[in-house]
Amino acid sequence: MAPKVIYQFISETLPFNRASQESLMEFVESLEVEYFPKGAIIFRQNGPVVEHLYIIQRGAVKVFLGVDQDHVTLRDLGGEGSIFGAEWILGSSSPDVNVEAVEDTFCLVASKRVFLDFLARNPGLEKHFRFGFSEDKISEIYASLRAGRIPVMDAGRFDYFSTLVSQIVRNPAVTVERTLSVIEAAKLMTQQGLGSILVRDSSSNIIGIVTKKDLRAKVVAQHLDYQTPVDLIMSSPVKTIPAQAICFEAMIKMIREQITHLAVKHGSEIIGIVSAHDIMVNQVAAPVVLLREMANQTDTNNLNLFHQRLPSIVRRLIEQGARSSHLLTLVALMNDRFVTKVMALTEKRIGKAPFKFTRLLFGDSGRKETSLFPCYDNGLVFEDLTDETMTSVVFDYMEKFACSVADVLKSCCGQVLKTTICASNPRWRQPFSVWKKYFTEAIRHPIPPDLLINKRILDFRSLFGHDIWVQTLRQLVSNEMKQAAIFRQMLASDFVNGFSPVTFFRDNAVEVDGSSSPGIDIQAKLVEPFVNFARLMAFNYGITETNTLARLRRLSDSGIFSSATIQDVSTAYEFNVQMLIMNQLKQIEAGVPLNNFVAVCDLSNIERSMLKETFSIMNRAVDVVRRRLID
Amino acid sequence: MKKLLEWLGFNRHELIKNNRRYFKTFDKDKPFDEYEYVVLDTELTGLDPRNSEVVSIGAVRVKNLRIMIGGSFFCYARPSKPLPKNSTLIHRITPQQIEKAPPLEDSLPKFIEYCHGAVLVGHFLKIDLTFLGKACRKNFGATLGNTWLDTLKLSQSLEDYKRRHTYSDDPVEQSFNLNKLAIKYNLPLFEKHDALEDAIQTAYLFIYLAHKLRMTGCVTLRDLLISQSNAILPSDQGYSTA
Repeated sequence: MAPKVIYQFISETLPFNRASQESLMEFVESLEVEYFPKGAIIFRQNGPVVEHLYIIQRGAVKVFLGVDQDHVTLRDLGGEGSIFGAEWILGSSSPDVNVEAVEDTFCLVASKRVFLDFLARNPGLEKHFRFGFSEDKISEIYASLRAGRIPVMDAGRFDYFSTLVSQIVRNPAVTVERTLSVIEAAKLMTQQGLGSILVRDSSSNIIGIVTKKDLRAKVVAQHLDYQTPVDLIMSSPVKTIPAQAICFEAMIKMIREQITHLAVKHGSEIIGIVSAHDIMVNQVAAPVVLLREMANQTDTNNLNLFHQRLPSIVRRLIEQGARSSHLLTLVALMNDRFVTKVMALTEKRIGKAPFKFTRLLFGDSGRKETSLFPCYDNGLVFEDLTDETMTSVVFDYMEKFACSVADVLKSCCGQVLKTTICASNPRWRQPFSVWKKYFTEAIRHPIPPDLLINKRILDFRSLFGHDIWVQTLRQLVSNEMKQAAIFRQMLASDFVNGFSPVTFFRDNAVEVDGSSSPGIDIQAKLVEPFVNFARLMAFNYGITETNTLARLRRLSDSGIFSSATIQDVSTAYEFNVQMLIMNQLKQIEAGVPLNNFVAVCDLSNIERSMLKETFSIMNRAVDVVRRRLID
Repeated sequence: MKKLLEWLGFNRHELIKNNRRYFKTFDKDKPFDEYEYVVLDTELTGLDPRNSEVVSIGAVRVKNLRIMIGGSFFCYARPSKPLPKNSTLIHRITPQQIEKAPPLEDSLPKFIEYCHGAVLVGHFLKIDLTFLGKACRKNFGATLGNTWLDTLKLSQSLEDYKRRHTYSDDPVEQSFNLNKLAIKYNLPLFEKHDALEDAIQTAYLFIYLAHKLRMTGCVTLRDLLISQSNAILPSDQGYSTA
């Protein structure tokens, strides 16, 4: 008969809370209680093979490396609920760290046999005691993050992330001959209540699609003869999506391709059509609706609806199980549309430029990693002037354009906007030849205070206007980087020195030097190290992608790192970004001043444990960088 | 005549004989962490040994100074008279709970076996031993012979030591109530007035005190016994077992 207090304590401790009640009861019955006065060593580095599992019931311990008190490295601190010894029991190994009581500490102790019996009866739990991530573990962590971090509102029935496209296709696709007249096609669509029909050639191959919009815009509005064959007004080729794709992917494809209908393919056969409407009827806050409303705006004054509505879209997606990679993709895509709209309206207001230019996006935007606090770092690149008389025209236009766009963005985004590099500063609106010099100089002659700027501008892409220089700039960066050993070395040192893991102890984040604070900057501590790591490795191995996850994928695909390592790094990065976005969402919804700090007391045990693992993964990455690029 | 026979050792139950034989030659000079302990607590119908009775016993074993959570001992005992209402208010045992429980004499042999070879430990153990002793004598011809330690006295001894060896201005501890001590020493807290939970609470206090008293120079069981016998109990305690 075990005391209720101990049973309750264990049943609330991760991962024991997931065990079957009966096995947990037996486990608790087999526990012993041991007391360690402050200063007692519980495990000694390289000591005997571990035979017991320790769960701290009261008190605290520190985990450190080193045998000599003057040369110890703090690895972790553990308070109530922390578990020690499991990985050494599972590996039949000696401890690779020291564990010492820093307060009078009571531990619940399970013998190796009891622990292994318990795991045998709860096979799903073993992964919690091993290093690394499994899909189950990740799902549980995300569910907990969702439950704990954002207050529940109306959880919709429709789920973007589990509903398959095939599940919302209602009717088999209707196809018509290419020679059918538009009037016959319109009749058919009206009779059968169709929003679109597919057009086939004489060999029954699908060659195009006609939608209601095509009839409206291409036939009625243009007074086209109603006997015109449909193949003259159809959109071609037909964009398709596999039936097994999730609705989120269909939505992203529609936004990206700027279309409203997709043919759904099962193998080589088209089984139906899915429209934005089909998705929207299930989803009030659909991104497509917002984009459509934004597209209809004729004045920049109403564009603030974008940042007002974006959080509710993100919330809905999170509630439906979206992970940060989905969210970043969507938010970046929507931000692109928003900024493009701002620029298009600006261009409409001040007149079209009599020369070619494009907007360069840097940093978060350059990597397509815009969060809810957008960072619109940008520059303007325009063609080199051969005609001197044009100089003042071009510079005046660029200034007017850059400043107007910056003003609109500022007024639309309010306090969420943070921009370091902006074309409203003349330094960042330059002809192509100057930009080439900027990039070359950034790599050849890096000056430490500018390293931050250099890192930002090197994550670039273009948006709006004439995208004719980006490829050349990318090639230039790639060529320069091959010879820039000093720059790469500097980035490596910057990454290694800039990474300082923390551990959690009670309600504080504790640095390696022992200093502590009640909050943790998610962006600086948890997201940037991963971004820096991916960038550093991409530059070293000639990878031209700018997106962090895409860089990591390439590192794995090209065999530079094992896929398991990259999987861990990507999972940790995604989790941290998820925390960042959820924290931002929470602040926006609460209407409090925005920052990227999260209070340690608000972190659940599972989140703390996940964060500790992400730090440990980054520690390994730092070791790799040291070994491969510095030593 | 009966008392004389008892005194001479006649009428003693085999269990009690074994128990007393074992402790007659009990070696108290080994390091105290080598002994096994049974930490116990009883719930009573009142504090008057003539009229009150034991209604539950909770106990847990300590080995190598580790509390063995499993294998604890717990029993309800049906008293010969109905439960006084005020006792229910303290230990929260209702008449219904003990209605079908066996009388104490039925559970005692198991308890005596459970305690075999172990040093008994309790908080203000004198009260528990008085009642258990009375029942043992009545049913088995003699009281338990186990060596015993009282955490109340041990904590008093520790506090004495701390006062003698520090220049602290902290006020002299006046309360040695189990719960207050648990809070003072920052021990995990258990439910009060449940014999088993109180026994476990006492066991936490005991292993804590044993470690602390080791730092004052106690090494053997005899050292702990001397330490508790030297403890000066505050005059006005209003002791309670919980």
